[in-house]
Amino acid sequence: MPEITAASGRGSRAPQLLADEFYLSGLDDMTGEQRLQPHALAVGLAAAVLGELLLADRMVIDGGRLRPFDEPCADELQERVRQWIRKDDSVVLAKDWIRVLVARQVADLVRHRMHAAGKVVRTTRRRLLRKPLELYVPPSLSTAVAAGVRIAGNLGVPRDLSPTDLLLAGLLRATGRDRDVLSHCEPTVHDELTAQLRRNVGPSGTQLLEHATEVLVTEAVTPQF
Amino acid sequence: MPTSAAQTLAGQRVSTAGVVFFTASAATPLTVCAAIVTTGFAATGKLGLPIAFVVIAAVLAVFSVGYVAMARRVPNAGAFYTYISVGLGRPAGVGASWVAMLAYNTLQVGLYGAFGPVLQPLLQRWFGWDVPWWVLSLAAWVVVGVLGLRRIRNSARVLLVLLAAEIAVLLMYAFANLANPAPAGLGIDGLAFGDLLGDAFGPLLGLAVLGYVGFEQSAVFSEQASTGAVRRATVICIVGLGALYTFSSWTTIQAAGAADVVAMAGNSPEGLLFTLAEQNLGPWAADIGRALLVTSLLAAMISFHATCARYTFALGRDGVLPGALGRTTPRTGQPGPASILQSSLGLVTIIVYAIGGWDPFVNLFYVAGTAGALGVLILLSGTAFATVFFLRRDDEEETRPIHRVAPPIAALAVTAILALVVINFSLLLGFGPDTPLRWIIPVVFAGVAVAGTLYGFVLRGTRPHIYRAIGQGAARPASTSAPRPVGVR
Repeated sequence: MPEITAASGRGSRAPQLLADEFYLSGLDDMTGEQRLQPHALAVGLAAAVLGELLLADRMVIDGGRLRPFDEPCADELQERVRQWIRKDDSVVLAKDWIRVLVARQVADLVRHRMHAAGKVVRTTRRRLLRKPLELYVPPSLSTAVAAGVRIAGNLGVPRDLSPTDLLLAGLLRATGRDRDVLSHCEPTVHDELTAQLRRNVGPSGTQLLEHATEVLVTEAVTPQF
Repeated sequence: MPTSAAQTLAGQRVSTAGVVFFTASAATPLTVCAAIVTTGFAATGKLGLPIAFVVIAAVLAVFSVGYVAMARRVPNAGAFYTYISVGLGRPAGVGASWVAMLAYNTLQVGLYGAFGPVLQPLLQRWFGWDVPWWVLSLAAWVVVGVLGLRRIRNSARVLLVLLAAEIAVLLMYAFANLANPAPAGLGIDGLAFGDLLGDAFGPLLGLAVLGYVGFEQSAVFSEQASTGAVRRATVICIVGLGALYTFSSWTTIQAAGAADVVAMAGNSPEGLLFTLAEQNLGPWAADIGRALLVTSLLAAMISFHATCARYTFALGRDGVLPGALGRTTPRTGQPGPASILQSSLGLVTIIVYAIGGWDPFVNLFYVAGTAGALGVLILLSGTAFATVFFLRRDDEEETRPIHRVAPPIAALAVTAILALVVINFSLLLGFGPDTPLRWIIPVVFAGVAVAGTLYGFVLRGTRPHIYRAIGQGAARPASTSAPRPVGVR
């Protein structure tokens, strides 16, 4: 098991795909629309795909630099990203790779993976005087809230989150989505998440969350052309 | 993948031109040439503003050597605040952050005092509408508030078009001035050092500094543009703005005549620039300029609003202000709560001045603009010293001899200008030598700086985890309410 969290040895299930979970957590469970701004979604998904490599023990982050291992990934998208990182040392920092993955349309790649796995279906919604909205929504919108309910439930007990859920919660906090996902919870749930992020996220996961946050914050404060 | 990751990354970077356009538009050249140049002649009674622009450009060019070198190594969301935290220590950084908040918010809300009064006569003449100034300022407030909550990409494009139009109009006016000189003919009046010396030395330099406020925005791009792009853009902006201001103000003297320009400026509070344009080119040219002045003011408000929101956001992230201000809005990715707070300040200011019946142009725009300029000068001085200490400690190979030589010179020069401005502050305000504002405003800024610094020391003793995170800006971890997670290397 990876070094991503101190509690990682307890999990018995195979790791869920973090990027898929992040995408679903961004959806509005009433309308199916994505509540995250496109760039925040892309940054979150890029970090989540890197997080999948950490969770699958195919990479570590050391001093902010990505260090992929030689062992291939079973998942096609993870393997594609691992190969990019392994074969290209022109960029090494996690935050730069997040930006590169955003530029390489990682959001589309994740959506295609989810579509191929039947996790989402493509629908088009007509809008008055605006071009139709293309949505990738799960067959049942209740799927969108599943991760949030699970995270909130475990934090409410409190019980340690699984490695995937902990990184997912960290990314939701980095993008600000945690306020919606955990909006029905007691304030203590937020404190518990903070405590678990401090206690259970290992060095690689911590650096991934820091770099994702830095990319998002820089984006927020830099004027865009 | 046909391109390397580095090439992909390079393709995402903001170009030199992008940084230049944004930085120069933040300086709003038409507002400077119309309002500051007129004030400079009328309030000081001297012709030295063109040479003052040259002197300040030189000082800022020296300042920018250390400033850009530091920006490369300190990722920031709060610019001056972050640099002073890193260079002079966290308590000084907190003091600087308070000064920055006060200065930029003062500059921003002050612009509402100009927008309404400038647009009001235009609407009266063009459409016969008699609209109170505060209604117009409130309309501008709505535009600024809405754009502040949206992605900045939308407003940046608007700024780009406005900047190009402003520069074109200024050049048109300047060449028209040269084509229609005063009877005495063209001369070097305004460009000689003798025009600068005397009682007005400090105020002229202070007004000139105000003209360049906005140039510091280039460093905000230090993460998203290449180092070379930020350096080139900073130099281009300082030199370009300096040349434009100097040329415009010098041609104004040539057209009005060295003997008459001060009196004409006193009789044209809305802008000597437009009076001359009307004489030289006709009313249409002046109206184009006045309309652009309105949009220039709007652009300045949008720009300063973003700066205020950015500072508030950075302070919220660092825990110096309530953590809620350090949040972005998920739907937009923008610092929404910080933007709303700034908009609230603007609204309160407009309402207070409207109810109080005070002259918005004199009592709000002039006073707030002058006070804001003083605050920015204090920040420039602090940042200049921060670069001195930071680059002296920094042992990176990239540190070149000029990075050690230029910052101390800039620190001394900026501090000297600051002292001159404070000594002659009443002249700068234009309210006569006995106005209590001449000491109230500097004392308020000094008090805020000291109080902020003391608060930094209090944080060190009572909330050390927040104290340690001060100045980390963008690099601070996701858990904004928490110290850095265990295991951070």
